[in-house]
Formats: sequence, structure tokens, C-alpha cells
Amino acid sequence: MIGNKDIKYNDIVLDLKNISKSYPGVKALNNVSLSMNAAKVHALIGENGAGKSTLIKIISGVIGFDKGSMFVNSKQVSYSTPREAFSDGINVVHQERNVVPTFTVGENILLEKIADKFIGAVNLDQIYRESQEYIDMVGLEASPSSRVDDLSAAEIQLIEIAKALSSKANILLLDEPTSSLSFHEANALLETIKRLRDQGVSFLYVTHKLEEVFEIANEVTVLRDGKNVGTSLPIEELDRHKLASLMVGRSQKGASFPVRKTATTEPVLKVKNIASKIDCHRKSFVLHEGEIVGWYGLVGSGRTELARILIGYDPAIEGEILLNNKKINIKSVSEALNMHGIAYLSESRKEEGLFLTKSITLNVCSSIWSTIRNCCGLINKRTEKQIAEGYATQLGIKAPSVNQIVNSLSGGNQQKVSFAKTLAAEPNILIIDEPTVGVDVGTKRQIHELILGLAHKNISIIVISSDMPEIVQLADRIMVFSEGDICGEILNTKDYKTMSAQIIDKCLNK
Amino acid sequence: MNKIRLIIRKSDSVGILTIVVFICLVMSLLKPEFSTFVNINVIARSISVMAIVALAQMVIIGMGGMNLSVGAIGGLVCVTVGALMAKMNIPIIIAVIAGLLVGLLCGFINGLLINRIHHFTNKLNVTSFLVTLATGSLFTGINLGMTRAVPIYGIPDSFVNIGRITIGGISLLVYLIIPVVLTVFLIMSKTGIGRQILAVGGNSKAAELSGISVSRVTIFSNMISAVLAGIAAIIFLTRLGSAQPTVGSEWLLFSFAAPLIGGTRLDGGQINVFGTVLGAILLALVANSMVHLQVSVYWVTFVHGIIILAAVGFERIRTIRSEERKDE
Repeated sequence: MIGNKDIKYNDIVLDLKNISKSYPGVKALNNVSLSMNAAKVHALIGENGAGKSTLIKIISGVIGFDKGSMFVNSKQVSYSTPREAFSDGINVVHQERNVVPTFTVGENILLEKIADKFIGAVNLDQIYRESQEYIDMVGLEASPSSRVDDLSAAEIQLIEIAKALSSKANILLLDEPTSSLSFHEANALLETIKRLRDQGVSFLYVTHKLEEVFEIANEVTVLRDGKNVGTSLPIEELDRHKLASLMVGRSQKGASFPVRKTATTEPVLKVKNIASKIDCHRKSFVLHEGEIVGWYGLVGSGRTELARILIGYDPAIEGEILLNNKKINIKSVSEALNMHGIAYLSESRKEEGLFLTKSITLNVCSSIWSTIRNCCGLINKRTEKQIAEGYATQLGIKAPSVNQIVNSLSGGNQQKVSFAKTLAAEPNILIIDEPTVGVDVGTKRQIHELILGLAHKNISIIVISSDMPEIVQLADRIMVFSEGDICGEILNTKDYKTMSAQIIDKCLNK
Repeated sequence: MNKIRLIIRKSDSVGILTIVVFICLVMSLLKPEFSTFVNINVIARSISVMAIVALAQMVIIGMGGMNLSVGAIGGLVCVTVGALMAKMNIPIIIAVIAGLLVGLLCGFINGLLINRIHHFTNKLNVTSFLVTLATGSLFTGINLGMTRAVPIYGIPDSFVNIGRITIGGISLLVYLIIPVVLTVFLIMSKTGIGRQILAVGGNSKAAELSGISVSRVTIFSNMISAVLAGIAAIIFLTRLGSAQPTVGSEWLLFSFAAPLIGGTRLDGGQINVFGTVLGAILLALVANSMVHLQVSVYWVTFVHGIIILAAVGFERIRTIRSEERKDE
């Protein structure tokens, strides 16, 4: 019915040996190995940027690899298109929804069948009848003739799994399948996966939720910085602490900054029980003047959502925000920036932060056009250039001139331009989302020094980061986020060993 | 719950039908000449062209694109058929087939170019907008260059007479749309290519990953659209009696308005064949009513603008509502 009938339960269905993959300037994967047993759930875990998605892309044929070898059902393969992986029974259930929303459940599950037909008639009744088998298999409680856009995210997830099963896939790659599901929905999904596993389907389960790993996985592979730190470990040999330290336990690079005493100053920002439309977990915290608060947590733990309330992107619908002991209402991004001096530096600078095809000058000055225009409402090119040059020197932006197009700069310099753009607006409170994603080690240090320098100038700073060494190095106080809540607050002693242990503790003992 | 959703979706057509009946009632009360046999025939004949043009656009909207060249293709087919019959004395049936082949070729060119450029941009709607904007100009250019914008007269009587045949007092042309509409309905809802067009419109990535060839779907949907535009042009030709190079120049606006009024989703993936026909009926009624109410010709254009804005608004409200219903 599904999978391969004559599967031997200790067969290796997928075997990766010393896979390496480089992109210009980055080694995404370095000698990664992984072997998946038949009818088992194999968890692939690691922090952001550890190389999980690169590996998934290689296995599913989206990209190729530079070195190493890959075996599927003991046959050596090297895929150049997803279709090839697909015909070997490898199927990915992506994070983003890959269903046709205007189609019915049955049609989506058997879309392959529709792809086979051309002039021939599609018999919907037959499709509904045949899809019922897969609907039952994944435990979906919806009629095959109901429309997909009437269903919930969890149900759509099940449709995707049903779709994969219908194509006789026996190796399913699940890429953080529970990230948009509620607790109950996630549990139901895990039960389904277990059931299918016992029927002979093999799963590669990508996640960063440790609870799920212990709930479901038989074997675990841990990636860190594109390398194996644990290869196909049986779950019995692991416990939470061991796994968590494998995931994050890199040694700290570079000297720490001195411990600062800041929590004694007057709080500039007090937030009480705020929640927004998209994030209903009420959260409270305070931020002192000139303080650096680190928000640690994994993607989806609710950090960015909280930041978006503070910058007016998703205005608060509950709770109150006190700025300098005055109650304020932040209704839009422009209000947050211009009236309250709260600025945000996006983690995705290429999409949300910068005008890539424009000059440094334009980027830096884009947030302050309304303040530098002259009495006729015109903007003086020379003033703009002076401002841009000022920031370029101050922040050490390496470029031949400020007329340079931002796209041609390195990641680190682009990040500095983002900083300059944000600083030009002269904020009092700065929220920086993943300040050093995709920048090299040297620039990372410079950016850290820059953030510290800003704090010394009494700007209050929130650093959002999933990079534990960065948080421990930089923050005065650390707030730990997990599953949408703030689950702990620690004064940072900047001693990496004790701090990382405490942070992991807070994450786990929620 | 799903039953209710289904009813809400189906009720769109009921709503339009109500408006159509309402306009008919009001107009016949206000203007007795509106409900005369002659006028009804006039409206019906214009519906026969408009409905098919609207279907031509609907197919492409369903695929997630748009076809700005429907009118240009129509014009080119019209003069081709006219010239073949009047200047070269080619038998009617062969001229008509040749005209439809010209239409098919135009659609094929559109599809091919969209695929070529889509490969670089990955935005089907923007690509098809730009490509058909350009090819529309190309096709019109060929049309005007060959005819020098002079209408072709001397269409054989045997051809023009087809337009004059009536069955039960109603023009044959009106009956002609029935098989066309049914064919489009069957293609879009029952055949593989029809479902593939809608799958690409609903989520082209998901379609591609399921083995549907997006480029093949693009080409075929454009060919279907172009043939429909050609059929509309040939029907129009029987009414005109001379091949006007300007045929189709005013099709674009209502080709979008009718499907949107009729329940076709602007984002693609969902169409409504009978709703689109109802949309065309509504638009034809409005146009005819304006004539009877003696609205200045110059203001008719203005009203068209209002109608298409209303249609877009109508479509958006419906889409957003269906998304909100899901949240409940």
C-alpha cells in the first residue's frame, strides 16, 4: 500500500557520505554524513544557518552537491532536478504551503493524476473516491470534495502528507512541519507520523523543537555551522541537555565585553501585557536607558512578533506601553520612528532593510528626507552626501564612495549601511533583529562594538538573536523566549559556560 | 458548514441574475421600446460577442495571467476572414478555419513569449501583462499595416445571411454561443488541461511540483483564449457585413469586467463560466439601457470605468470575505 512491502527494518534507505557544498564565499556544508533507516523517524536538528535546509535541498534534488556521495535504497544517485528525487520516492513537505487553494482536497491529493491527463476527462468522483484512502491514512477529517482554502493550516499539512503518500513516496522529508500549528494540532500530526512510520514510511524530520525530537525520533543527526556534530545517533543515547549543548555548544569566539551595570537607571520603556492580532501571548518587560537587552530564542519563539508591536507594524490590541512613564499608543511604523524614536533594524536587510539597487547615500538618507529638506521642500544633494559620508566614516563602511550601489557591497558593509540608515533617524530605542546574520567574523566584532558604542550614548537597545554566543557577549540582560512566551530573564555575567547552561535551562523548563 | 459555504459561493450568480432581472423590469417600465422584440434581439446579438470575449479573458485570468491582446487578435482574425472571402473568393468555411488558425497562431506566440520571459521574472501576471501589451500592438499593427485601416467590403451575402437567420425570432448567432459556452465549461471543469490551467492559477509552484508543465499550460490557455477571441470576431463580422480593422478595439474593458462580476478570482485558480456569461449579459444590458436613457456617448466611457472599478471591488470583497469566513 505505502512504502515498500518487502522493507527490512534495518535497511538503510538514505545514506549520505561526506557531502560538501559551497556557495561563493560560504561553505554551507562541510563533510556532512547521515544515514536513515527504513521505517524510522530521523530527526535533523540544528540552529538557523546550520545547513539543514541546504541538506534538504540536496536530498530532494533542488540543488547539487560538490563533494561526497549519496545513496538511495543502496543505489548511488546524484539528482539534478526534484523530479528525479521524486521518482525515487523522495518527497518534501515544505514549510510553505504547496497546495492549490482553489481546488478540493481530493484534487490536491491526486494532483499528479490531473497532471497526467491532458485532453482526457478528469473524473472528479473517481478522484474523490481514490483520495479517500489517503485521507483516512493521514487521519484527515475532511471530505475529499471540500475546498482547501476552507481548511486550517494543520489540515493542509495533512493534505500535503497525503499527497506525498499518494505518489508512493517512502522517504518523506518534513521541514519544520509543526511551525504553524497549535499544540493540539502538532500532537495529532506527530501521532499520524508515528502511525505511518509503523506502516513502513521513513521520515526525515527537520525541527528545532527538542520536545518533538524526544517525542518522535528514533535517530538524530545534529548539524552546526555546516558540519556534523552528531551523526545518526540513536535517541536512547541522548537527553535534552546533551542534545541542546550539541546544537548550540560552540566555543565563544573573541573576548567578551566588560559587564556593565545598567539596570539601575530609570526605565525608558515599560511594557505591560501587550498582545497583537497575530500574537496573542501577553508579554511584559522593561528596558532601561542605555541598556542592551538580548532576546534569545529560536525562530518562531515570539521575538519578532513582539518587536513588530513595538514598532507599530502590528499595533497592540491589548495591554499598555509606557515610554518615559507616559502611556503611548503606537499605531504605525512612521509614528513609532518619528514620534517615539523607536527604530527597527530588520533581519532580512535585503528584503526589508535596504534599497539594493540604490546608492549608499540614498539608503542612509531615505529615513530622514522629511527632516533634511529645505524650505521649498527640496532635498539638497550635497547635504545628503555629507550626512552619508559622516556615517560611512563613523561606522567604517568600506566603499570607494558613498555613491556606490549597495548591492555591490559585502554582507557586513550592507549591514553597516542598514545601521547608518536607522541611526540617521536618531532613535532613542533601537531594536536590532539578528544583527550579524550573514556577515564575516571580523565585521561581526565591529558590529558588536558599534552596538556597544550606541549603548554608551544612552540609546536603549534590544538585540534579537538566535546566536547564543552573540547574546552572551553583547547583552546586559537576557530575556529567553520560547513558544511565544518570555520564559525567563537573566542578568548576564558574560561567562559563556554558566550563561549558556542557564539559557538552555530556561528554554527547556518552560 | 461546508454546505453553507457552497451556497454562498453559488449565490454569486443568483445575485447577478437578480440585478439583471431588476434592470430589465425597471427599463421596460421606464422605456416601453426597451422590451420590444427588436431591442431584445439587439441586446442578444451584442451579448453573443461579449460573452465569448469575456470567456477568452476568463480562461487566462483563471491561469493567473491576463490577455491584453484579445481585441487585437479579434481584429486580426476579422480582417483575415474578411479579406479571404471578399478579395480572394475563398469558400466561407475555409476562410473561417483559416481565421481561427490565425487566432491560434497569435495565442501560440503569446504563450511562447510569456514562457520565454516568465523564465526570467517568475511573475506570471506581470509577464503576461507586458507580453500581451506588446503583442497586442504587434497584431494591431499587422492588421492596420495590411488594411491601411480601410474596411474590407464585399463580404459574400451567403456569409452575411448567416447572421440574419433566425430561429423562433432570435438570431442564430445567439444560439451559437450555447455550444461555445458549454465547450468552455467542459474543457475547464472536466478535462485535464482545464484543471491544469486552474491549478497553475491557484498555485503555480504546487502545480509544477506535481508534474504539471506550467509552460505547456501557458501556451494552451493562450491558444484557447485566442481562438475564443477569433470566434467572437467572426460572429461580429456576420453582424457588420464588412471587415472593420477596428473590431476588438473596445473589448478589453468588459473582457475583464464580465468575468470579475461573474465570480472569477482575479488572482487566478477559480473561474465561473456561467457567471461570466451573466456578467456579459449585465454589461450588455447596461450599455443598451444607456442608449435608451439617452446618455451621451461621451459619458458612456466614463460609466464603463465605473463598472470595471465596481467589478474589481466586488471581486476583492468576495475574495476577502471568503478568507474571513475561513478564520471564523
